[in-house]
Amino acid sequence: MRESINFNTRVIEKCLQGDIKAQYQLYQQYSNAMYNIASRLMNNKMDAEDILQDSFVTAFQHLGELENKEVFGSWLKRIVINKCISQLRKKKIHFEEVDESRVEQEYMEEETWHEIDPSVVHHAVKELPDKGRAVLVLRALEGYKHKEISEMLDISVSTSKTQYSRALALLKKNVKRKVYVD
Amino acid sequence: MSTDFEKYLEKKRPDLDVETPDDHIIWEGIRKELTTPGSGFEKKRMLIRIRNVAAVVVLVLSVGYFIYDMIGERRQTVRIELADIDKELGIRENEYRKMVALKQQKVGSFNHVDNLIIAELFEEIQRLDTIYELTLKDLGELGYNEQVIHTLFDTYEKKIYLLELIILENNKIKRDETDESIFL
Repeated sequence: MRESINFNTRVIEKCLQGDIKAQYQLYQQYSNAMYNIASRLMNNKMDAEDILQDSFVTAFQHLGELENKEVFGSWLKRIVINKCISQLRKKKIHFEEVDESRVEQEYMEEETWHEIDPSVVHHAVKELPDKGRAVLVLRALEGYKHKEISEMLDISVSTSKTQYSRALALLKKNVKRKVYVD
Repeated sequence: MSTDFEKYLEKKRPDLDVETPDDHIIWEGIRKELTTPGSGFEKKRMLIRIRNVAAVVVLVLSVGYFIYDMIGERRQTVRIELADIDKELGIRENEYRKMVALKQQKVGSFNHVDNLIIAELFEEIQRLDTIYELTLKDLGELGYNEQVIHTLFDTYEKKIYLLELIILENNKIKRDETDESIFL
């Protein structure tokens, strides 16, 4: 882990000197993970690719401002997430909340979850309504606290919590449908 | 307390990254953006269009002077209009004038003159107006000349195009301003 951090720091130092190979190296290291975050938040391939490109450009242009080079990954992730939220606002996407009536009681045996293919879950996440999806992605997959999410999405902490539990229940329902029906 | 499903999500988090971006295209875009600092794609496209118009303007100007040189001595300038030469040409010019006036009226209500793109477009329009005046002089001196008439109509078309670009840019600015104020 320490070696990986040192390696990253060395690559970032080269990037700061304008080394295009180092920039590409850094891009390759993080592009997949960042693209999937954008894809889950935007639910649109083209938007996700635009955000990925834009985020790396921003990161490379402001790399000198990052004091602790070891946190490059989480810094880049924050750039991606901020751009996604900004884009969702710009596109005037109706930020649909997860309606309680859409969430039914889940009957899936809890212990069977480990058998589920992760790609099924990934695609089921993308089918969630916008606001619920954003809250769920940020909380369950990116590890942000409800307070942080409430600030990022400009909602109350209680709304974040409610949306999270509803989105989680709806996701379980969608996964179940995909596994047993589709 | 985490449910089994939340534990699953936490454990399988890295495996959820199942999609792959089109690295070639995205990296190419990043590289281009980095080598052309401070220019968004949209802005770049707009500037390219302006540059193209500017190139045509220079060409038209050169052709105008070429004709002038070919004819030789400058004769006394007489202010003449296309309608004086041909009725059909006069009607066509009148239609262009109406369209220009309509778009100018719309542009006149904008207050984004501090915008770099809009300022450049206004400058191009000023250059076009100069070309128009010079061409009109040529018309007075030469009388009917296809090249001169073509240049006159060309200036109208380009002016309309530039005015439309200003309207589009202004709409974009207004849209961005509105978007900024929208809540989730």
